[in-house]
Amino acid sequence: MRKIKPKKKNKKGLSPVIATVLLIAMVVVIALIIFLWFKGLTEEVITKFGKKNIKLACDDVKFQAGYGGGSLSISNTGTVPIYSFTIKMIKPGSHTSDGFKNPQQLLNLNWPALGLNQGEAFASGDLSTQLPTGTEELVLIPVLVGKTKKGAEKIHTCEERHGYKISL
Amino acid sequence: MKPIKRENKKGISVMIGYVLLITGAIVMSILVYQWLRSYVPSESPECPADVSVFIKEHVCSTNQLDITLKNNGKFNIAGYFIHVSDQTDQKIATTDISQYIESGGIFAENAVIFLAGGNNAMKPNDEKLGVFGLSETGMDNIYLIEIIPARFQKIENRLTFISCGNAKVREEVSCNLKCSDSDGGINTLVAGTCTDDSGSYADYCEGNAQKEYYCSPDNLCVIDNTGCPSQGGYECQNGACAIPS
Repeated sequence: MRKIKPKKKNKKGLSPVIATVLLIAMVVVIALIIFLWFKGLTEEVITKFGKKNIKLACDDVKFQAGYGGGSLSISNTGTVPIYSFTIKMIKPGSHTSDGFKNPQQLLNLNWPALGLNQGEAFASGDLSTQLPTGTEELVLIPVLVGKTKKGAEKIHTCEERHGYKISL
Repeated sequence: MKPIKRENKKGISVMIGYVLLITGAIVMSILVYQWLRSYVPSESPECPADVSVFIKEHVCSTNQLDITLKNNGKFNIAGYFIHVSDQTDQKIATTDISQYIESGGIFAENAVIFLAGGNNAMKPNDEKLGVFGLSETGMDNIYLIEIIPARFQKIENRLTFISCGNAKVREEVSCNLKCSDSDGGINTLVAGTCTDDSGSYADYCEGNAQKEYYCSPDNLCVIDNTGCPSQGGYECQNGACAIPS
């Protein structure tokens, strides 16, 4: 009769616990690495009104503009304050863009320091001598100001599709 | 005889594995949500679509503009933004006159507000008269009036003053702020009063000659000596030409 040797018990009581701790630690570390790597790839988020991405705020910008007698008039008919404008001047075969942030440089007039709030309007001085000869169209692209997560103010120029086209 | 196979006791490890997976998934989703949160479109403050007003009447006199506004919409209104233009070729009115309100509202939030305290005081079908004293503006004429109604709305439990740009009204007018004539100009059949910066002058009779005051192109009250029509038997009575009964 063969003697059945009792199999020795495999004392692995501690290993599953260590394995679990190691697994959790690995998951946390990997998640952190992925998050930091991903964060480095993306641009800094600028928000408007505290939580809304400023790019989405551009969709809510509403304004009217007109050009008459050499003067540009703008009325903010929406609820989003417009900090400034980029003006794209189009003439056949070419275009140039100029920032409106320092109007004294371009338009020689008093643009409100904080921009155009809701319900406010603005009229420029004589623009006719400032525009390139042959300019047929102006596109006014709004520029907004938002805050980063650290609280710093940053300017964001909306896309051209949010602009307002004026024929001269 | 085959040895008895011992059971592989891996029950706990599988459980821990599931817990770890679920925990990891939740943690990752929270991280992604935090990053993408700003991209979630949120409701932007907007006026209801049925907000509507119109300028029922405007009266221009020397350095004064009276506007009667009527609420023909379905929602109450708290006030309005008002701009005028003194240029004939300006397509958008850009001169803000809300600060010159003398009666019919108060100046606040760069607008005219009917009642302080965050109330939308103008109900549908209400009419409000706003009187603006414009002597300090230096304007001689007004050719365009634009009004944007506004109301208080609760946004995220905060009362916010919102401009209703979609309900903007625009009216082209011809207002002379420096000189006004109650009978509309040279009108000998009506005894009127002309008012300019120097005072008021009423049409009068000098014997049977009617003296008609009117606004000159220089915004001054001047006399027209044309008198009453020669045919028809007109006589000058109380500053106007009339056929005696």
